[in-house]
Amino acid sequence: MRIEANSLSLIAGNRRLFADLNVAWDGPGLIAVIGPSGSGKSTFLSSLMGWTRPDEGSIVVQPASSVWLVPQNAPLLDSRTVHENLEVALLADDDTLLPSRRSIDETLAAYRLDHQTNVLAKHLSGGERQRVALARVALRQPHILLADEVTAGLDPASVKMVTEALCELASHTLVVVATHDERVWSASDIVLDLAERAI
Amino acid sequence: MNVPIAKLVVETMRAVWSRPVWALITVAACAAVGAGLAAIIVDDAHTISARQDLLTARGWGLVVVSSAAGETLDPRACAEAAGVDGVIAAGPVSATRDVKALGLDAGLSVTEVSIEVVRMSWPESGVDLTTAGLLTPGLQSLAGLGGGVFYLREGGVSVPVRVSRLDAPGRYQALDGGLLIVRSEIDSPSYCLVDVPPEEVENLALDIAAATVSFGTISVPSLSPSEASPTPGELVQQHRDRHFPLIAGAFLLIITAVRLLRSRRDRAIYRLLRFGRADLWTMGIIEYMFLMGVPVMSAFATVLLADQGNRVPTQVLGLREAALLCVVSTIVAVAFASLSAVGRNTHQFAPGA
Repeated sequence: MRIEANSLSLIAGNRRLFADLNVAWDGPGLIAVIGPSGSGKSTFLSSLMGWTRPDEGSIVVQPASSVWLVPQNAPLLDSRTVHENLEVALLADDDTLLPSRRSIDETLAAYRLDHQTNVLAKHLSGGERQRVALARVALRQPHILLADEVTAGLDPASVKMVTEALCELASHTLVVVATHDERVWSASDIVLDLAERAI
Repeated sequence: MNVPIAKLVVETMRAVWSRPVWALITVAACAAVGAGLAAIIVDDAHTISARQDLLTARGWGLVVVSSAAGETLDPRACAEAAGVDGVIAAGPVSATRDVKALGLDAGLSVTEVSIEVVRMSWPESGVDLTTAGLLTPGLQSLAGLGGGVFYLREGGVSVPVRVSRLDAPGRYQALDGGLLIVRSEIDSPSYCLVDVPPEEVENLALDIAAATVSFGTISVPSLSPSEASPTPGELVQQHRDRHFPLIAGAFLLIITAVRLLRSRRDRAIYRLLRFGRADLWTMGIIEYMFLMGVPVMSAFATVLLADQGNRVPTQVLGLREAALLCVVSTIVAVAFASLSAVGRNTHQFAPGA
Protein backbone atom coordinates (compact mmCIF):
# COMPACT_ATOMS: atom_id res chain seq x y z
CA MET A 1 0.00 0.00 0.00
CA ARG A 2 1.50 3.27 -1.13
CA ILE A 3 0.52 6.88 -1.71
CA GLU A 4 2.74 9.07 -3.80
CA ALA A 5 2.27 12.70 -4.87
CA ASN A 6 4.75 14.26 -7.25
CA SER A 7 4.89 18.03 -7.73
CA LEU A 8 1.22 18.13 -6.82
CA SER A 9 -0.66 21.37 -7.20
CA LEU A 10 -4.33 21.90 -6.40
CA ILE A 11 -6.48 24.92 -7.15
CA ALA A 12 -9.95 25.53 -5.74
CA GLY A 13 -11.81 28.11 -7.79
CA ASN A 14 -9.29 30.87 -8.42
CA ARG A 15 -7.22 30.12 -5.33
CA ARG A 16 -4.17 27.93 -5.33
CA LEU A 17 -4.36 25.65 -2.27
CA PHE A 18 -0.81 24.42 -2.48
CA ALA A 19 1.84 23.74 -5.08
CA ASP A 20 4.73 21.42 -5.72
CA LEU A 21 3.78 18.95 -3.02
CA ASN A 22 5.87 15.80 -2.95
CA VAL A 23 5.07 12.95 -0.60
CA ALA A 24 5.60 9.20 -0.62
CA TRP A 25 3.99 7.10 2.08
CA ASP A 26 4.07 3.36 2.45
CA GLY A 27 1.69 1.65 4.84
CA PRO A 28 0.55 0.60 7.25
CA GLY A 29 0.62 3.67 9.46
CA LEU A 30 -1.25 6.77 10.55
CA ILE A 31 -0.61 9.99 8.66
CA ALA A 32 -2.16 13.27 9.77
CA VAL A 33 -2.78 16.04 7.28
CA ILE A 34 -3.12 19.29 9.17
CA GLY A 35 -3.56 22.92 8.34
CA PRO A 36 -6.00 25.74 8.89
CA SER A 37 -9.44 25.78 7.35
CA GLY A 38 -9.20 26.31 3.61
CA SER A 39 -5.66 24.96 3.38
CA GLY A 40 -6.82 22.14 1.14
CA LYS A 41 -6.97 19.13 3.49
CA SER A 42 -10.31 17.84 2.22
CA THR A 43 -9.42 18.64 -1.39
CA PHE A 44 -6.20 16.68 -0.96
CA LEU A 45 -8.15 13.66 0.31
CA SER A 46 -10.58 14.10 -2.53
CA SER A 47 -7.70 14.01 -5.01
CA LEU A 48 -6.43 10.82 -3.37
CA MET A 49 -9.91 9.35 -3.84
CA GLY A 50 -9.73 10.29 -7.49
CA TRP A 51 -12.64 12.71 -7.25
CA THR A 52 -10.55 15.87 -7.78
CA ARG A 53 -8.11 16.08 -10.64
CA PRO A 54 -4.77 17.72 -9.82
CA ASP A 55 -3.91 20.89 -11.68
CA GLU A 56 -0.27 19.98 -11.82
CA GLY A 57 1.71 16.95 -10.85
CA SER A 58 0.54 13.42 -10.39
CA ILE A 59 -0.85 11.07 -7.78
CA VAL A 60 -0.25 7.37 -7.48
CA VAL A 61 -2.42 5.34 -5.12
CA GLN A 62 -1.75 1.62 -4.87
CA PRO A 63 -3.91 -0.36 -4.80
CA ALA A 64 -6.41 2.12 -6.19
CA SER A 65 -9.34 -0.24 -5.78
CA SER A 66 -8.94 -0.52 -2.01
CA VAL A 67 -9.18 3.11 -0.96
CA TRP A 68 -12.05 4.03 1.32
CA LEU A 69 -13.16 7.37 2.68
CA VAL A 70 -14.80 8.21 5.98
CA PRO A 71 -16.21 11.71 5.55
CA GLN A 72 -16.93 14.33 8.14
CA ASN A 73 -20.13 13.93 10.19
CA ALA A 74 -20.23 10.14 9.68
CA PRO A 75 -23.11 9.65 7.27
CA LEU A 76 -25.06 6.58 8.34
CA LEU A 77 -28.37 5.06 7.33
CA ASP A 78 -30.19 6.66 10.24
CA SER A 79 -33.26 4.47 10.19
CA ARG A 80 -31.20 1.28 10.29
CA THR A 81 -29.49 -0.39 13.22
CA VAL A 82 -25.76 -0.32 13.83
CA HIS A 83 -25.51 -3.93 12.71
CA GLU A 84 -27.41 -3.21 9.49
CA ASN A 85 -25.17 -0.24 8.75
CA LEU A 86 -22.22 -2.59 8.82
CA GLU A 87 -24.03 -5.23 6.79
CA VAL A 88 -24.56 -2.75 3.97
CA ALA A 89 -20.80 -2.27 3.70
CA LEU A 90 -20.44 -5.93 2.77
CA LEU A 91 -22.94 -5.86 -0.09
CA ALA A 92 -20.64 -4.33 -2.66
CA ASP A 93 -18.36 -7.28 -3.06
CA ASP A 94 -16.47 -6.60 -6.23
CA ASP A 95 -13.11 -5.87 -4.64
CA THR A 96 -10.84 -8.72 -5.68
CA LEU A 97 -8.09 -7.39 -3.43
CA LEU A 98 -10.29 -7.75 -0.38
CA PRO A 99 -8.57 -9.83 2.30
CA SER A 100 -10.58 -12.16 4.48
CA ARG A 101 -13.07 -10.16 6.46
CA ARG A 102 -13.65 -10.12 10.11
CA SER A 103 -17.17 -10.80 11.15
CA ILE A 104 -19.47 -7.92 11.93
CA ASP A 105 -19.70 -8.92 15.59
CA GLU A 106 -15.93 -9.03 15.97
CA THR A 107 -15.63 -5.62 14.37
CA LEU A 108 -18.32 -4.14 16.59
CA ALA A 109 -16.53 -5.52 19.65
CA ALA A 110 -13.20 -4.12 18.48
CA TYR A 111 -14.75 -0.67 18.21
CA ARG A 112 -16.60 -1.02 21.52
CA LEU A 113 -19.98 -0.96 19.82
CA ASP A 114 -21.08 -4.48 20.67
CA HIS A 115 -23.60 -3.25 23.25
CA GLN A 116 -25.29 -1.08 20.61
CA THR A 117 -25.72 -3.63 17.86
CA ASN A 118 -29.47 -3.16 17.57
CA VAL A 119 -29.64 0.56 18.27
CA LEU A 120 -30.89 2.72 15.41
CA ALA A 121 -28.12 4.92 14.02
CA LYS A 122 -30.16 8.07 14.59
CA HIS A 123 -29.97 7.47 18.34
CA LEU A 124 -26.15 7.38 18.46
CA SER A 125 -23.95 10.18 19.74
CA GLY A 126 -21.47 11.93 17.43
CA GLY A 127 -18.55 9.87 18.67
CA GLU A 128 -20.49 6.63 18.33
CA ARG A 129 -21.48 7.54 14.79
CA GLN A 130 -17.86 8.13 13.86
CA ARG A 131 -16.85 4.81 15.35
CA VAL A 132 -19.63 3.06 13.43
CA ALA A 133 -18.44 4.77 10.26
CA LEU A 134 -14.87 3.63 10.94
CA ALA A 135 -16.01 0.13 11.85
CA ARG A 136 -18.04 -0.03 8.65
CA VAL A 137 -14.94 0.67 6.61
CA ALA A 138 -12.70 -1.49 8.80
CA LEU A 139 -14.99 -4.41 8.05
CA ARG A 140 -13.77 -4.26 4.48
CA GLN A 141 -10.15 -4.21 5.68
CA PRO A 142 -9.10 -1.58 3.18
CA HIS A 143 -5.47 -1.08 2.24
CA ILE A 144 -5.86 2.69 2.40
CA LEU A 145 -8.32 4.67 4.53
CA LEU A 146 -8.88 8.39 4.18
CA ALA A 147 -10.62 10.07 7.12
CA ASP A 148 -11.83 13.65 6.90
CA GLU A 149 -12.18 15.54 10.19
CA VAL A 150 -13.60 12.50 11.92
CA THR A 151 -13.18 14.04 15.39
CA ALA A 152 -14.72 17.42 14.57
CA GLY A 153 -17.24 18.47 17.19
CA LEU A 154 -16.68 15.51 19.48
CA ASP A 155 -16.19 15.62 23.23
CA PRO A 156 -12.75 14.62 24.60
CA ALA A 157 -13.82 11.10 25.54
CA SER A 158 -15.18 10.51 22.08
CA VAL A 159 -12.06 11.97 20.45
CA LYS A 160 -9.99 9.55 22.50
CA MET A 161 -12.06 6.56 21.41
CA VAL A 162 -12.07 7.61 17.74
CA THR A 163 -8.31 8.18 17.86
CA GLU A 164 -7.87 4.72 19.34
CA ALA A 165 -10.00 3.34 16.53
CA LEU A 166 -7.83 5.12 13.96
CA CYS A 167 -4.68 3.73 15.58
CA GLU A 168 -6.19 0.26 15.58
CA LEU A 169 -6.92 0.61 11.86
CA ALA A 170 -3.44 1.98 11.21
CA SER A 171 -1.90 -1.22 12.50
CA HIS A 172 -2.79 -2.91 9.23
CA THR A 173 -3.92 -0.04 6.98
CA LEU A 174 -2.40 3.12 5.59
CA VAL A 175 -4.64 5.72 7.26
CA VAL A 176 -4.55 9.35 6.14
CA VAL A 177 -6.59 11.60 8.39
CA ALA A 178 -7.28 15.27 7.78
CA THR A 179 -7.64 16.92 11.16
CA HIS A 180 -7.36 20.03 13.26
CA ASP A 181 -7.16 18.05 16.44
CA GLU A 182 -3.79 17.88 18.14
CA ARG A 183 -4.83 14.73 20.00
CA VAL A 184 -5.14 13.00 16.67
CA TRP A 185 -2.03 14.26 14.94
CA SER A 186 0.06 13.75 18.05
CA ALA A 187 -0.79 10.05 17.78
CA SER A 188 0.24 9.94 14.12
CA ASP A 189 3.37 8.46 12.62
CA ILE A 190 3.73 11.25 10.07
CA VAL A 191 2.25 14.76 9.99
CA LEU A 192 1.84 16.72 6.78
CA ASP A 193 1.25 20.42 7.42
CA LEU A 194 -0.26 21.84 4.28
CA ALA A 195 0.14 25.41 5.56
CA GLU A 196 3.90 25.06 5.66
CA ARG A 197 4.27 22.35 3.02
CA ALA A 198 6.52 20.67 5.54
CA ILE A 199 6.72 17.06 6.69
CA MET B 1 -22.93 -3.76 -11.12
CA ASN B 2 -21.02 -4.12 -7.90
CA VAL B 3 -23.78 -5.74 -5.90
CA PRO B 4 -25.53 -9.01 -6.78
CA ILE B 5 -29.17 -8.53 -7.72
CA ALA B 6 -30.48 -10.73 -4.89
CA LYS B 7 -28.69 -8.58 -2.32
CA LEU B 8 -30.05 -5.46 -4.00
CA VAL B 9 -33.59 -6.79 -3.71
CA VAL B 10 -33.15 -7.47 0.01
CA GLU B 11 -31.47 -4.12 0.62
CA THR B 12 -34.19 -2.27 -1.30
CA MET B 13 -36.92 -3.91 0.72
CA ARG B 14 -35.12 -3.07 3.95
CA ALA B 15 -34.69 0.52 2.84
CA VAL B 16 -38.35 0.83 1.88
CA TRP B 17 -39.62 -0.40 5.23
CA SER B 18 -36.94 1.09 7.48
CA ARG B 19 -38.75 4.40 7.95
CA PRO B 20 -42.19 3.93 9.51
CA VAL B 21 -43.67 7.24 8.32
CA TRP B 22 -42.62 6.79 4.71
CA ALA B 23 -43.60 3.14 4.85
CA LEU B 24 -47.05 4.17 6.09
CA ILE B 25 -47.43 6.75 3.31
CA THR B 26 -46.30 4.17 0.79
CA VAL B 27 -48.67 1.52 2.09
CA ALA B 28 -51.54 4.02 2.05
CA ALA B 29 -50.74 4.99 -1.54
CA CYS B 30 -50.47 1.33 -2.53
CA ALA B 31 -53.77 0.50 -0.86
CA ALA B 32 -55.48 3.43 -2.55
CA VAL B 33 -54.16 2.44 -5.94
CA GLY B 34 -55.06 -1.21 -5.40
CA ALA B 35 -58.60 -0.33 -4.34
CA GLY B 36 -58.96 2.18 -7.16
CA LEU B 37 -57.73 -0.29 -9.71
CA ALA B 38 -60.06 -2.98 -8.39
CA ALA B 39 -62.97 -0.56 -8.61
CA ILE B 40 -62.07 0.30 -12.20
CA ILE B 41 -61.80 -3.34 -13.18
CA VAL B 42 -65.11 -4.18 -11.56
CA ASP B 43 -66.69 -1.16 -13.23
CA ASP B 44 -65.24 -2.17 -16.60
CA ALA B 45 -66.46 -5.72 -16.15
CA HIS B 46 -69.91 -4.52 -15.17
CA THR B 47 -70.12 -2.14 -18.11
CA ILE B 48 -68.95 -4.78 -20.53
CA SER B 49 -71.22 -7.49 -19.24
CA ALA B 50 -74.20 -5.13 -19.18
CA ARG B 51 -73.51 -4.16 -22.77
CA GLN B 52 -73.09 -7.78 -23.76
CA ASP B 53 -76.38 -8.64 -22.10
CA LEU B 54 -78.07 -5.82 -23.96
CA LEU B 55 -76.61 -6.85 -27.29
CA THR B 56 -77.39 -10.50 -26.63
CA ALA B 57 -80.97 -9.62 -25.84
CA ARG B 58 -81.12 -7.89 -29.20
CA GLY B 59 -79.83 -10.94 -30.94
CA TRP B 60 -76.14 -10.18 -30.98
CA GLY B 61 -74.46 -13.21 -32.43
CA LEU B 62 -77.14 -13.81 -35.03
CA VAL B 63 -76.63 -13.41 -38.77
CA VAL B 64 -79.61 -13.60 -41.11
CA VAL B 65 -79.24 -14.75 -44.69
CA SER B 66 -82.30 -13.61 -46.62
CA SER B 67 -83.64 -14.01 -50.13
CA ALA B 68 -85.18 -11.23 -52.16
CA ALA B 69 -88.48 -10.04 -50.75
CA GLY B 70 -91.10 -12.71 -50.80
CA GLU B 71 -88.95 -15.29 -52.53
CA THR B 72 -88.04 -18.65 -51.20
CA LEU B 73 -84.49 -19.01 -50.02
CA ASP B 74 -82.46 -21.74 -51.67
CA PRO B 75 -81.94 -24.40 -48.95
CA ARG B 76 -78.29 -24.59 -50.01
CA ALA B 77 -77.80 -21.15 -48.47
CA CYS B 78 -78.07 -22.62 -44.99
CA ALA B 79 -75.75 -25.46 -45.89
CA GLU B 80 -73.16 -22.99 -47.15
CA ALA B 81 -73.55 -20.79 -44.08
CA ALA B 82 -73.27 -23.79 -41.76
CA GLY B 83 -70.03 -24.74 -43.50
CA VAL B 84 -68.32 -21.47 -42.65
CA ASP B 85 -65.56 -22.01 -40.16
CA GLY B 86 -66.65 -20.73 -36.74
CA VAL B 87 -70.40 -20.93 -37.24
CA ILE B 88 -72.16 -22.68 -34.37
CA ALA B 89 -75.35 -23.63 -36.17
CA ALA B 90 -77.57 -22.56 -39.05
CA GLY B 91 -81.23 -23.29 -39.70
CA PRO B 92 -83.91 -22.15 -42.14
CA VAL B 93 -87.03 -20.26 -41.14
CA SER B 94 -89.91 -19.06 -43.18
CA ALA B 95 -91.03 -15.55 -43.84
CA THR B 96 -93.16 -14.34 -41.05
CA ARG B 97 -96.21 -12.27 -40.73
CA ASP B 98 -95.69 -11.14 -37.21
CA VAL B 99 -92.15 -11.57 -36.02
CA LYS B 100 -92.46 -8.91 -33.39
CA ALA B 101 -95.42 -10.62 -31.80
CA LEU B 102 -93.51 -13.76 -31.17
CA GLY B 103 -91.51 -14.60 -28.16
CA LEU B 104 -92.34 -15.44 -24.63
CA ASP B 105 -95.30 -13.14 -24.68
CA ALA B 106 -96.61 -14.94 -27.71
CA GLY B 107 -97.10 -18.06 -25.76
CA LEU B 108 -93.85 -19.90 -25.32
CA SER B 109 -94.09 -21.27 -21.85
CA VAL B 110 -91.01 -21.83 -19.75
CA THR B 111 -91.67 -23.53 -16.45
CA GLU B 112 -89.14 -24.55 -13.88
CA VAL B 113 -90.28 -27.96 -12.71
CA SER B 114 -87.42 -28.21 -10.29
CA ILE B 115 -84.05 -26.59 -9.84
CA GLU B 116 -82.68 -28.83 -12.57
CA VAL B 117 -85.64 -29.40 -14.84
CA VAL B 118 -87.21 -26.79 -17.03
CA ARG B 119 -90.24 -27.39 -19.22
CA MET B 120 -90.66 -25.47 -22.44
CA SER B 121 -93.79 -25.64 -24.51
CA TRP B 122 -95.60 -23.76 -27.24
CA PRO B 123 -99.10 -25.03 -26.85
CA GLU B 124 -101.13 -22.48 -28.71
CA SER B 125 -99.15 -22.42 -31.93
CA GLY B 126 -100.26 -25.81 -33.06
CA VAL B 127 -96.67 -26.76 -33.62
CA ASP B 128 -95.08 -28.92 -31.04
CA LEU B 129 -91.69 -28.01 -29.80
CA THR B 130 -89.48 -31.00 -30.37
CA THR B 131 -86.00 -31.94 -29.43
CA ALA B 132 -85.10 -31.83 -33.10
CA GLY B 133 -85.72 -28.10 -33.07
CA LEU B 134 -82.94 -27.37 -30.65
CA LEU B 135 -79.88 -25.83 -32.23
CA THR B 136 -77.53 -25.46 -29.39
CA PRO B 137 -75.73 -28.47 -27.99
CA GLY B 138 -74.72 -28.62 -24.39
CA LEU B 139 -77.88 -29.76 -22.73
CA GLN B 140 -77.54 -32.79 -20.56
CA SER B 141 -80.73 -34.36 -21.67
CA LEU B 142 -83.93 -33.48 -23.39
CA ALA B 143 -87.25 -35.12 -23.61
CA GLY B 144 -90.16 -34.28 -25.90
CA LEU B 145 -93.33 -34.90 -23.99
CA GLY B 146 -96.86 -33.61 -24.23
CA GLY B 147 -96.07 -30.85 -26.71
CA GLY B 148 -93.14 -29.53 -24.70
CA VAL B 149 -89.46 -30.08 -24.15
CA PHE B 150 -88.05 -30.93 -20.80
CA TYR B 151 -84.65 -29.48 -20.43
CA LEU B 152 -82.35 -30.78 -17.73
CA ARG B 153 -79.88 -28.24 -16.42
CA GLU B 154 -76.55 -29.62 -15.38
CA GLY B 155 -76.23 -29.21 -11.63
CA GLY B 156 -78.72 -26.40 -11.68
CA VAL B 157 -76.30 -24.25 -13.70
CA SER B 158 -77.86 -22.33 -16.52
CA VAL B 159 -76.95 -23.27 -20.08
CA PRO B 160 -77.75 -21.00 -23.01
CA VAL B 161 -80.46 -22.70 -25.07
CA ARG B 162 -81.25 -21.79 -28.63
CA VAL B 163 -84.33 -23.10 -30.33
CA SER B 164 -85.74 -21.95 -33.62
CA ARG B 165 -89.32 -21.93 -34.81
CA LEU B 166 -91.02 -21.66 -38.13
CA ASP B 167 -91.91 -18.00 -37.91
CA ALA B 168 -89.46 -16.66 -35.42
CA PRO B 169 -86.38 -15.00 -36.91
CA GLY B 170 -85.85 -13.40 -33.60
CA ARG B 171 -84.36 -14.16 -30.28
CA TYR B 172 -85.89 -14.26 -26.86
CA GLN B 173 -84.54 -13.88 -23.41
CA ALA B 174 -85.35 -16.86 -21.29
CA LEU B 175 -83.92 -19.53 -19.09
CA ASP B 176 -81.64 -17.76 -16.67
CA GLY B 177 -80.45 -15.27 -19.23
CA GLY B 178 -79.97 -17.91 -21.92
CA LEU B 179 -81.40 -17.38 -25.38
CA LEU B 180 -84.22 -19.05 -27.18
CA ILE B 181 -84.85 -19.07 -30.88
CA VAL B 182 -87.80 -21.24 -31.64
CA ARG B 183 -88.38 -23.04 -34.89
CA SER B 184 -90.17 -26.01 -36.34
CA GLU B 185 -90.06 -27.84 -39.64
CA ILE B 186 -90.71 -25.56 -42.58
CA ASP B 187 -91.51 -25.97 -46.23
CA SER B 188 -90.53 -22.70 -47.86
CA PRO B 189 -87.82 -20.85 -45.98
CA SER B 190 -87.15 -17.19 -46.56
CA TYR B 191 -84.41 -16.82 -44.00
CA CYS B 192 -81.49 -18.79 -42.76
CA LEU B 193 -80.65 -17.98 -39.17
CA VAL B 194 -76.96 -18.41 -38.53
CA ASP B 195 -75.77 -18.69 -34.97
CA VAL B 196 -72.24 -17.40 -34.41
CA PRO B 197 -70.13 -16.58 -31.38
CA PRO B 198 -71.14 -13.00 -30.48
CA GLU B 199 -67.59 -11.71 -30.32
CA GLU B 200 -66.96 -13.04 -33.84
CA VAL B 201 -70.13 -11.73 -35.39
CA GLU B 202 -68.51 -8.99 -37.45
CA ASN B 203 -65.74 -11.15 -38.85
CA LEU B 204 -68.00 -14.12 -39.53
CA ALA B 205 -70.62 -11.92 -41.16
CA LEU B 206 -68.10 -11.19 -43.90
CA ASP B 207 -67.28 -14.89 -44.34
CA ILE B 208 -70.96 -15.83 -44.41
CA ALA B 209 -71.65 -13.09 -46.93
CA ALA B 210 -68.89 -14.44 -49.15
CA ALA B 211 -70.22 -18.01 -48.83
CA THR B 212 -73.86 -17.15 -49.51
CA VAL B 213 -73.49 -14.33 -52.00
CA SER B 214 -75.22 -16.30 -54.76
CA PHE B 215 -78.26 -17.03 -52.57
CA GLY B 216 -79.12 -13.68 -51.12
CA THR B 217 -77.93 -10.99 -48.79
CA ILE B 218 -77.03 -11.04 -45.16
CA SER B 219 -77.79 -8.76 -42.29
CA VAL B 220 -76.72 -8.56 -38.68
CA PRO B 221 -79.96 -7.62 -36.90
CA SER B 222 -78.54 -6.42 -33.61
CA LEU B 223 -75.77 -4.25 -34.96
CA SER B 224 -77.02 -0.96 -36.25
CA PRO B 225 -74.21 1.36 -37.37
CA SER B 226 -74.28 3.14 -34.04
CA GLU B 227 -73.92 -0.14 -32.20
CA ALA B 228 -71.32 -1.76 -34.38
CA SER B 229 -68.56 -0.47 -32.17
CA PRO B 230 -67.01 -0.49 -29.74
CA THR B 231 -66.45 -4.17 -29.25
CA PRO B 232 -65.88 -5.35 -25.68
CA GLY B 233 -62.15 -5.23 -26.33
CA GLU B 234 -62.38 -1.67 -27.60
CA LEU B 235 -64.54 -0.76 -24.65
CA VAL B 236 -61.92 -2.13 -22.28
CA GLN B 237 -59.28 -0.16 -24.12
CA GLN B 238 -61.34 3.00 -23.81
CA HIS B 239 -61.74 2.50 -20.09
CA ARG B 240 -58.06 1.80 -19.63
CA ASP B 241 -57.10 4.81 -21.72
CA ARG B 242 -59.32 6.97 -19.55
CA HIS B 243 -58.50 5.66 -16.06
CA PHE B 244 -55.12 3.99 -16.11
CA PRO B 245 -52.89 6.91 -17.18
CA LEU B 246 -54.49 9.07 -14.51
CA ILE B 247 -54.08 6.57 -11.71
CA ALA B 248 -50.62 5.45 -12.82
CA GLY B 249 -49.46 9.07 -13.14
CA ALA B 250 -50.72 10.00 -9.69
CA PHE B 251 -49.16 6.94 -8.15
CA LEU B 252 -45.83 7.49 -9.89
CA LEU B 253 -45.84 11.04 -8.58
CA ILE B 254 -46.46 9.90 -5.00
CA ILE B 255 -43.84 7.16 -5.11
CA THR B 256 -41.28 9.43 -6.75
CA ALA B 257 -41.85 12.16 -4.19
CA VAL B 258 -41.51 9.67 -1.35
CA ARG B 259 -38.34 8.24 -2.84
CA LEU B 260 -36.77 11.64 -3.40
CA LEU B 261 -37.52 12.78 0.13
CA ARG B 262 -36.53 9.49 1.68
CA SER B 263 -33.44 8.41 -0.12
CA ARG B 264 -31.39 11.35 -1.35
CA ARG B 265 -28.98 11.15 1.59
CA ASP B 266 -29.06 7.36 1.56
CA ARG B 267 -27.91 7.31 -2.04
CA ALA B 268 -24.80 9.29 -1.12
CA ILE B 269 -24.02 6.72 1.58
CA TYR B 270 -24.50 3.83 -0.80
CA ARG B 271 -22.14 5.52 -3.25
CA LEU B 272 -19.60 5.84 -0.45
CA LEU B 273 -19.95 2.10 0.17
CA ARG B 274 -19.06 1.27 -3.43
CA PHE B 275 -22.55 0.88 -4.81
CA GLY B 276 -22.28 1.70 -8.50
CA ARG B 277 -24.63 3.92 -10.42
CA ALA B 278 -26.15 0.80 -11.96
CA ASP B 279 -26.76 -0.63 -8.48
CA LEU B 280 -28.64 2.48 -7.42
CA TRP B 281 -30.67 2.52 -10.63
CA THR B 282 -31.46 -1.15 -10.15
CA MET B 283 -32.58 -0.48 -6.57
CA GLY B 284 -34.84 2.25 -7.89
CA ILE B 285 -36.31 -0.07 -10.51
CA ILE B 286 -36.84 -2.83 -7.94
CA GLU B 287 -38.53 -0.35 -5.65
CA TYR B 288 -40.82 0.95 -8.38
CA MET B 289 -41.63 -2.56 -9.56
CA PHE B 290 -42.43 -3.63 -6.01
CA LEU B 291 -44.40 -0.56 -5.04
CA MET B 292 -46.38 -0.48 -8.27
CA GLY B 293 -46.53 -4.20 -8.92
CA VAL B 294 -47.86 -5.24 -5.53
CA PRO B 295 -51.02 -3.07 -5.56
CA VAL B 296 -51.69 -3.88 -9.22
CA MET B 297 -51.32 -7.61 -8.67
CA SER B 298 -53.29 -7.37 -5.43
CA ALA B 299 -56.10 -5.64 -7.26
CA PHE B 300 -56.11 -8.29 -9.97
CA ALA B 301 -56.04 -11.09 -7.40
CA THR B 302 -58.87 -9.49 -5.43
CA VAL B 303 -61.01 -9.06 -8.52
CA LEU B 304 -60.34 -12.60 -9.71
CA LEU B 305 -61.19 -14.05 -6.31
CA ALA B 306 -64.37 -11.98 -6.14
CA ASP B 307 -65.25 -12.74 -9.75
CA GLN B 308 -67.28 -15.84 -9.04
CA GLY B 309 -69.31 -15.49 -12.21
CA ASN B 310 -66.28 -15.18 -14.51
CA ARG B 311 -67.55 -11.83 -15.70
CA VAL B 312 -64.16 -10.13 -15.96
CA PRO B 313 -62.78 -10.41 -19.48
CA THR B 314 -59.16 -11.46 -19.46
CA GLN B 315 -58.12 -8.43 -21.51
CA VAL B 316 -59.15 -6.19 -18.61
CA LEU B 317 -56.45 -7.69 -16.49
CA GLY B 318 -53.73 -6.19 -18.66
CA LEU B 319 -51.49 -9.22 -18.62
CA ARG B 320 -49.73 -8.03 -21.74
CA GLU B 321 -48.92 -4.72 -20.11
CA ALA B 322 -47.59 -6.46 -16.99
CA ALA B 323 -45.38 -8.72 -19.09
CA LEU B 324 -44.18 -5.72 -21.09
CA LEU B 325 -43.29 -3.87 -17.90
CA CYS B 326 -41.22 -6.82 -16.68
CA VAL B 327 -39.38 -7.09 -20.00
CA VAL B 328 -38.64 -3.35 -20.17
CA SER B 329 -37.43 -3.30 -16.55
CA THR B 330 -35.13 -6.23 -17.18
CA ILE B 331 -33.69 -4.59 -20.29
CA VAL B 332 -33.09 -1.33 -18.44
CA ALA B 333 -31.41 -3.13 -15.52
CA VAL B 334 -29.16 -5.12 -17.86
CA ALA B 335 -28.29 -1.99 -19.83
CA PHE B 336 -27.24 -0.14 -16.69
CA ALA B 337 -25.28 -3.15 -15.50
CA SER B 338 -23.39 -3.22 -18.81
CA LEU B 339 -22.67 0.51 -18.67
CA SER B 340 -21.39 0.13 -15.13
CA ALA B 341 -19.00 -2.65 -16.09
CA VAL B 342 -17.57 -0.51 -18.91
CA GLY B 343 -17.25 2.59 -16.76
CA ARG B 344 -15.37 1.16 -13.77
CA ASN B 345 -12.46 3.46 -13.10
CA THR B 346 -9.07 3.62 -11.55
CA HIS B 347 -7.66 6.85 -10.32
CA GLN B 348 -4.00 6.80 -11.14
CA PHE B 349 -3.66 9.77 -13.39
CA ALA B 350 -1.73 12.89 -14.18
CA PRO B 351 -2.92 16.15 -15.72
CA GLY B 352 -3.71 15.72 -19.33
CA ALA B 353 -3.95 11.96 -18.96
